[in-house]
Amino acid sequence: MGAHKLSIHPYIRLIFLIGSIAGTILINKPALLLLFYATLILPLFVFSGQIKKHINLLLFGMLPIFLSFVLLYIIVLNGNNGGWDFIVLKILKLSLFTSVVQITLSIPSDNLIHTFKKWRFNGDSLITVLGAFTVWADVNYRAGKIITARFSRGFIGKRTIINKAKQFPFVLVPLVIGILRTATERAESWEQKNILHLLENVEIEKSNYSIYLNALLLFVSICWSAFGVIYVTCF
Amino acid sequence: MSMDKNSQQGRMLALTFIPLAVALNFGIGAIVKALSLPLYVDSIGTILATLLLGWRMGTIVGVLGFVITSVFINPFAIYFVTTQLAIALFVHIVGRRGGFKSVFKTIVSGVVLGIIAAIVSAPVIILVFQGATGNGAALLTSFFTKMSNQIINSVFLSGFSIEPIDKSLQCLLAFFILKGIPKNLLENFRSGSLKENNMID
Repeated sequence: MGAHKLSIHPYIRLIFLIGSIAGTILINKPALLLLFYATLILPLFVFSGQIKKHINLLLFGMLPIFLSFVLLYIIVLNGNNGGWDFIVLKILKLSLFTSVVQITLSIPSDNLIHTFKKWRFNGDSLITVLGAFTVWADVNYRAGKIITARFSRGFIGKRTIINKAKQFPFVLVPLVIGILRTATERAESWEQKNILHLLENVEIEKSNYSIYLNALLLFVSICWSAFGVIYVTCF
Repeated sequence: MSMDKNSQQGRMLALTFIPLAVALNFGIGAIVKALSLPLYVDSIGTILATLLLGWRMGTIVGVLGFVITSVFINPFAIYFVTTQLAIALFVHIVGRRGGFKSVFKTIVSGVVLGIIAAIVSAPVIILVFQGATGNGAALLTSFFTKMSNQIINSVFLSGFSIEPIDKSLQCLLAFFILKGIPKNLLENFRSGSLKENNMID
């Protein structure tokens, strides 16, 4: 199943974000949070082909937080301020918030303009968010090129992450100079092309949003937040 | 007419520079996060954008950078967007008064910025993360908690220990980066506080 078939409509994205976060804030039962994650969030990552990105986030983002919770609350405070139940609940909630934000903002590149326009971004703000979501790959590429140049000159022994980090100060200045040059050149070119006008009038090809997926997300978002309200009032 | 042309050029420059500065925040933050250093070094783009283009652009860079960072590498970044606003505001105010004129002034500005960042971040660390943020600072919080048994005090103490060093380092990096850039390139960026800091004529 391609990522295109899992395209989510901009409004459904927002409803999903708000509904999921509201429900997650209100519900305090780890089993229910885990069920929501396992039956909806995880399959979404799998079917959209973003599971690797999600696992990276869990491993390098959530795992350190979990370990620092264990260190602080179990080892240092001996469970006096909150034991394993507290840690599991906190980690599940943080993981859900993170996952929902990740799904909402992982927008396929061919849907970017449509999504941001529907979210009422226009003119300067549209061009800024579009740039922010697309340009970082370019900057990473430039940084990689500078490191490769230093590597080929023999300044770096092995390409380990530690050695790359040591190159940090040497990469920064040429990187920022490159960024300022690019910004200046692009500004002139965009002004000549009247990019803002072009972007406002760009013809957007209608995306083929999956009705079933969008209906499911809408339904689940409403149910999850409504269940949260019921949970708070009844339990 | 020429004023309009200048403002249009400045606007275009801001529009092209902001995404690149966001990427700078993102890229540097990624390296530091991967190394689990007890520092953040994730606001250089914000500081540079503020000095080059003013506090509004600095805030946009900081907030957008943290939103994107939280999607890809660091899930807790999104909770600290208010700290980015505080950084942009402070750098703008200090920059206007020549706080980045010399190495000494830059270090002093960085230390004060660190204290402000620690105060603004502490409520988020306490309320959202209960002190456990998963980075090097959490180790320091655990150490102080072991000493005092008080999580709230420990969060403030670890913030006051790390943030001034981190922010001084970032301010110094921004200072040296700007000093290393040819003046003719910086001449295009006149809406920030480069002039007050003798970085352009």
